[in-house]
This record gives sequence, structure tokens and C-alpha cells, in this order.
Amino acid sequence: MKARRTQPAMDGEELLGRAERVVAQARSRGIAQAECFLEWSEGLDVELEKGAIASTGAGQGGGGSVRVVVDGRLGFAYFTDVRDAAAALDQAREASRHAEKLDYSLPTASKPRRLGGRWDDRVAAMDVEAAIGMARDLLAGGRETAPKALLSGGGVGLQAEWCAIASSEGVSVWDRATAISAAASLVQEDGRASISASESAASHRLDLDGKAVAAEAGRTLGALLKPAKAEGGRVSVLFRPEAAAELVSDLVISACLGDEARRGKTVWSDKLGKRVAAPRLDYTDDPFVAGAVGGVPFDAEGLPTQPVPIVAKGMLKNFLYDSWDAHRHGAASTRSAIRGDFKARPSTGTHHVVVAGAGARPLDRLLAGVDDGFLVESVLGAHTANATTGDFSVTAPNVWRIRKGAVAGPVREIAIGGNLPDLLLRLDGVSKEAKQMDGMRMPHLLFADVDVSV
Amino acid sequence: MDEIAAMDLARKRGADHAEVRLETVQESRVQLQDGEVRGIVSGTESGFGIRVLVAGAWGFASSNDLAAASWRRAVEQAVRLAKASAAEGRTAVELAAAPRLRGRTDWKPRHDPRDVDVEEKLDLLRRMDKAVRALPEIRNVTASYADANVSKHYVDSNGSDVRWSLVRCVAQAHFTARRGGELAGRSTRVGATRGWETFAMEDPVEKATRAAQATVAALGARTAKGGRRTVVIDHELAGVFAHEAVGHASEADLIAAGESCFKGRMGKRLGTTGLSIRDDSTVAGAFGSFPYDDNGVAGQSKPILDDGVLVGYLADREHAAALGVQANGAARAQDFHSRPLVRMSNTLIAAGDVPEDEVFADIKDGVYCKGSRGGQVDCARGTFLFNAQEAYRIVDGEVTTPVRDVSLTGDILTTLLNIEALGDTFRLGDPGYCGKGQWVPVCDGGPLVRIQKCLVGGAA
Repeated sequence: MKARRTQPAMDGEELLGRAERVVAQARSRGIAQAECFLEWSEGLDVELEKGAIASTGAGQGGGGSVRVVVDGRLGFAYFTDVRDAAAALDQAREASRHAEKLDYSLPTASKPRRLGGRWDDRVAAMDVEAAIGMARDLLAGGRETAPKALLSGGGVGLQAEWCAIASSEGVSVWDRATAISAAASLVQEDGRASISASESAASHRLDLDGKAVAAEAGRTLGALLKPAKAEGGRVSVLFRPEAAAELVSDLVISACLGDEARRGKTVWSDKLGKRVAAPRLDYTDDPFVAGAVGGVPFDAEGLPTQPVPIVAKGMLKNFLYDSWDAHRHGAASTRSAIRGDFKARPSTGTHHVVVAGAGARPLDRLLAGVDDGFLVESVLGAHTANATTGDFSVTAPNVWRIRKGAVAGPVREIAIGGNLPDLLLRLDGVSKEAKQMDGMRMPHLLFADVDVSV
Repeated sequence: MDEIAAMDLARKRGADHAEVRLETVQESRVQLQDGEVRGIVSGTESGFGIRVLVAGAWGFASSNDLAAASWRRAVEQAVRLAKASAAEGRTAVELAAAPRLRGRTDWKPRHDPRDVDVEEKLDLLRRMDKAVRALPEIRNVTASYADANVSKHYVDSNGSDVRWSLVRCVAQAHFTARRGGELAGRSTRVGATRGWETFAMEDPVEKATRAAQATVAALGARTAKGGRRTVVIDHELAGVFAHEAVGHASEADLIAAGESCFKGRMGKRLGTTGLSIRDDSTVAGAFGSFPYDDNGVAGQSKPILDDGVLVGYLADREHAAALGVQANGAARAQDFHSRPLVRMSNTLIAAGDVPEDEVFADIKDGVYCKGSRGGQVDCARGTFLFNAQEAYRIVDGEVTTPVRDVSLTGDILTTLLNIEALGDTFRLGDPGYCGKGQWVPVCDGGPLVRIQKCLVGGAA
């Protein structure tokens, strides 16, 4: 293998300069519209297994992609070495010949708003001692709150990312962000079965408390030991934020993608402006929540992001579009372009979802209103829900019984089935307390009349 | 600097063991949405991953920057990280012995997809789209195609030095059927560790057409009645059951971590007599096949259950040593940025001796489930859940009307003993991707399998 490419200087301005030079190359090849996206990332992680550090690893890498529009036809190609960008431009131009002539134009520039608090030099330093120190904290937190449990998995991850986008239409932006994550999974024998519980947290800054993360998993585990047998029925179910996110977010996000919806593929295709949930639910893509991981100043096409209400007071307010989907459906981009990585074309998605509701109540008051039901900590199988119909069938391994407004103790696994759009219309309560996760802020959600079987 | 020099440098810096993987993937992806070209993507990425052991602790580093400075930095980083981990005093990792392999294996396709024009790939998708859309109830069709030419070079300080290459091709369609207010979604996929000839061996157009017809026929179907019933699962769902319920539970890393219900049960009867399940990365053309794993161990057939008795785990070199078993070629990494994990390849239930029509005999009120819409397993608790693509009521031994949205859940150890018939014909299931923090291509398969007292999810 020939030695290629030297490492970029990890400098946003320089990365942007490279992207702009690729766009200039496109111009010199007679390509009227071109866009270049470049990214570089560095990471460090510590993996935990069997109550100890199992492995440490580091990675770095990056690359870029180009989009070109030739005669109204869009083409795409990617590369890992910026010296191959010219060949990628030719590849993209060739790909465009096979595309439909849809008179698409790349989006034009506007200035993104500043979004601070997303960079921490201490994270970017990729200090192995800091990462191992936090891993030690995770181990200690687990030991202190659940001394009989084994920390079976989890760890610490540090990441620093840079990206730059330049285009012939005036887009010229760069960004950088750091992120740190900590996670702990604890498992403990409990009779003939094992009980497990997990907790995780993420931040842009080196301010996570690893001990607190594992301690929370330990407290959850302790509260799940010696479960009683449950009984099925049609009852109220209160989902903790992690379970609520698992159950609801995939469906809602896929249902509000403009292209999918306008093609009639989703359960909310004909619901714009109509009621899709109980009046207490608000679902907003808000990239500007201070400190939240997932917030970005511009989308994957370089357009300034903005808060987009998706569901407000239970009414479907907006579908989401990137510039391509918007063009195809005669809509305006909601600046919702995302990219998996440099090898992927931009597509439509959410940046940072905030779920809330007018009339949100403190958790203890929400709980107090449940006469007979279950509190669910996690669900399995949510990804197998039917995205077209919203029908789902999941199991909930970590569950407590709720009787007369109080948590009455853990019970064995239950199965929950139903139809998610119907369930959202039966939303009975939203907690004031919410959990900040990577890309989402989610409260507890209470649903009435849920089918539970055992 | 190259792979060998990087390994040598790692040893000089203090690594007791060093392994280097250099990988190149050249890919092409094409997508058609409702008959319109949605995207044509092509590109190549190369990169390397270096893993070292220092005083029994792992360190790993990776990059897609192949400049000499990047190689050196990665080596230094991997060794430094391993030393930092070693200072934490974890029980030292040992590696099970493995044969020192040297050589090159190229699984050459008969028809390299790189030689196939984009228009021909688009034509395949257009034919899938047209065939499915011939049914008036089908409203939306997304057809997509992908191929990948993968080449790897693995070297380690044990003296292994193997190069291999293969090609995978896959074509799939996802569509929506609508009649009145009722909607149903369905996916269908054809793929193999082969070249463009994949689609001459199994026609994705025909397969998509059959799936569309079944989906339309199921519009208006009732939700299955929930509760414990006798179910028959087809070869594809049987394969998913083997993968989800048995394959994951036999992964040596989960056994070692105490996170599998198979722990401590080696040599014991776990399944009904006649039930044999293996994981086999040597099945010619199967989507999960590979010649060498990412520990440099040859791909092989790994028996898990033999006549109902647990006889083997899936093990990489690290966890094989921890459990006192042999490494059997089960180490796989998603890409060069990822560390190898214990993974499955093609997980298969052997055919039994019951003629297929007799598998249904005497079932008074059961469910016949075909195809998979995904599944999940909790190996520690020993529970599983998976959803069927199609399902039908069985009444008095006959497959009758369709029912919709059937999920099957259960306790792995109980369900394995509740298998009461295995059909006499084995078929390979659909290609798929298994997620365990990393995604790898897999396949599975089996015969018709009849299970008593299986918990069917549906209406209460």
C-alpha cells in the first residue's frame, strides 16, 4: 500500500480552505454548481468489562465528499484523500448523468448563528489519564451502590470533530465540537435469573460525574431485585425517559420526515395541521439547547439551523426537509440535513429533539395519579415496530408495579403491545423532570389503557 | 511504513503481542425511490487498525491516514494506551493458541460488480420497482442495491500473515401497501458473498413480487390472538431464532462476562433431541461467510448444539483462553476502526426428518410465521423477541387466513425444549446485518420448526 495523505492540521479554517479549493477545482472543470464537505475526527475510549478495564483504544480519520449539479441533475462521490477530490468530482459528474433532470440547485448561503459551549480543550487533548480516571469512577460508583453486582459493560469515550462545507452558492462554514460519554451496565444474579441495569450520560465538556452515572445504574438494579409475578391487563404505564425514547422516538422521527410523509408512507402522511397526540405533547427539533449534545449551528448542507416545532399541543405542525426533499415536494428546507459520515449523502433528520408538554407535572404528582399500572425502565424490541402502521410489540424487562399512586415493587418481565399513534393520542401525562440524552431531551411519559400481557 | 513495519515497531516499543489489519473497501450504492433515481454513491476507503498487548492489557489505534507519520503515531498510541491499562492491574489477558497461518485467499466473483454499468444496476432496481408496483395496492417502493469489494491483510507477532478478498452484493426493496385506511409495510432482500451472479441464482424481482402479493393478501387481516400457542416458523424465521436465541447466548465474551444463560451448561441438554445448530463461516456464497476472522484464524464450522446438547461456544482467541476452549474463527470487526468482537457468521439449524406437510399435522389452533422483521435477545435473562413478516392461522393442521403483526417471545432454555418437530428440508434465509455495537453481515437458515407453548404477541 502506497503511503498517502498527511494529517490535516486539525484547524477549522484550514479545513474550510481545502473545501473551498475543491469547489474551485470544480469550477475549473466546468461544473457550475458544486459543494465539498470535509470532516476529521479523533477519539479515545476506555472499555469496561467484568468489573475492570478491558481495553483502551484511539482512532482518527476523516474524508470528504462532493455534490455536483450538472444540467439540473445531482451527482455525489466521496474520497478519503483530498488529493483525490478531482477524481471524485469526475465520478460525481458521471453519476449525475444517470440521475433524473429535476432542476435542483444547491442551497444558497446564509450566516449561521453562533452556538457556544460545545468545545472543551480538556476533551480535545485526548488525555488517557483523564479517561481512565473517569472509568475508575464508573467502577467505584457501581461498587458502592451495588456491591454484589458486576459491572459487565460500559466505558468512557472522548471525541473531537471538525467539519467544513463550501459551495459554489456561497456556503462557507466550519465547526468543531468535543463530546465525552460515560456508560455503565451492571448485572447481578437474582435467584435463577440475572437482573441488569444501565445508565449513560454525555456532555460536550469534561464535566461528567462517572461515579454518579454508575451509582444511578446501581440504584436502579437494587430496586429491581426479587421481582414478583406480574398480571396483565389494560392499565396505565409510566415510561421512564430512556424507555419513552426507545418506544416513541423512532416512530415520531420517521413519521415527520417530509419526503416519507409526502409520499404517503407514514402514519402521519395526511395529518399536517391535525391532531396526532394528546394536547399535552410538544415535540420540537431544537438545536439550541445550551450544552445539549446534538445541537449544531448549521445543518449538513451548511444552512443555519433553527428550532422546528414538529408537534405542538398535540397538533402536527411541520414535516422536516433537507434542500433536496424540499425541492422534490415544493417546500422550504427546514435546515434538517444530517450526514452519517463523509461517505453519506445529506439526508433529512433531527438534530436535537426536545419533548415536553404544557401542563407537565412533577414526577411524584404524575405517579400519584396512577391507581393501577406499571413503571417501565427499559423496553426491548422497539426497533421491530411496524414503521408503516405504528403497530408494536415489545418486552419490558425492568418493571415496577404502581398501586395507589406509589411504586409497589419490582415485577417480572411484561409484554406491551399496541399502536403507537393511538397511544400518543392517549398520552395522559408528561413529567417536568427530563433526561438529557445524546440528541434528545425526554421526560417521563404516562399512557392510559395500555395492553400488558405476561 | 507498512503493516509488517508497524507490527515490528510495536514489538520494539514493548508490545508482547501485536496484530495489524489493513483493509480496503470499494463500494457502489444505488437507490431508486418510487421509480426515480434517489442516489448513486461510489467510493473507496482504506485504513488500518493496530492492536497490542502489553503486560496482559490491550491497546488499540486506527486511522484511514496511510502516511508513514500516521502509522508511527498509531503504533505509539496503541502501546501507550496498553501500558496505561496495564497499570490498572486487571487480570492479564491471555490468548489461546492458534495455528500460524500464511497465505492468500481470494473469493473471486464470477462477475465482478465493478464491471457492471450503473445503468444495469438501475435496470435491476427498475424491474423490481415495476414488478411490485404492478399490484394496485402498492403505493411506495424504495429499491436499493449495494456492492462491496473487500480486501484485508492481517499480520500478527504470532507469525500469521494472511491476505484475503471477497465481494458482497445485495439488492432490496421496501414498499408500502394501502387499501382504504389500512397500511402495511414490507421489506425483501437478496444478497450473497458473490458478485453480480448473485441475481442470476436468486431473482430479486421474483422474490419482491411474491412478498408484495403476500402483503396485499394480508391487508384486512386481523391481529393474531395473543397467548401461548403452537407455532410453526419457516426456514427464515428458524434461522433468526437460531441467531437470536442460540447464537448470541453461545458467544464466549458473553459467557465469560456472566451475561449468557448458557454459562455453566456445556455438555448439558438444552434442546429437544434432534436439534443441531451450528455457526458456519464457510458456507459457499452465504452473506456471512469469510475465509479468515479478524484474529487471523481460519473461518470454520462451529457446532453449538448437537442433538440438543450444548457442545461449543463461538470464541475469539482472548475469550477462548478465558474459557479454556479453542479459538474457532469467530472474531469479527465491523471495519478497521473497530476492535474485533465475538460474532456470528451464518447460523444454521440442521434439517430434521419430518416431511414438511406433516410439521403442521394435528395443530388445532396455531400460527404459521414466515420471514423476519427483526428481533432482540437478552442473553443474561435468557429471553428473546422477534417479529414475523407474514403470519397465518393454523386450524386443524391446515394453514388458513393471514393474521398481522405477530411477535414471538419466550425464554430461550424453555423454548429449545419445546421444539417438537423439525422439517426435513433446509433452506438458507435472507442476508442480514447483526448489531452488537458494530454491524457485520450475517446469514442464517433452517428447516420448518414447530414449537409448542410459544408466547404469541397480539391482541389481549
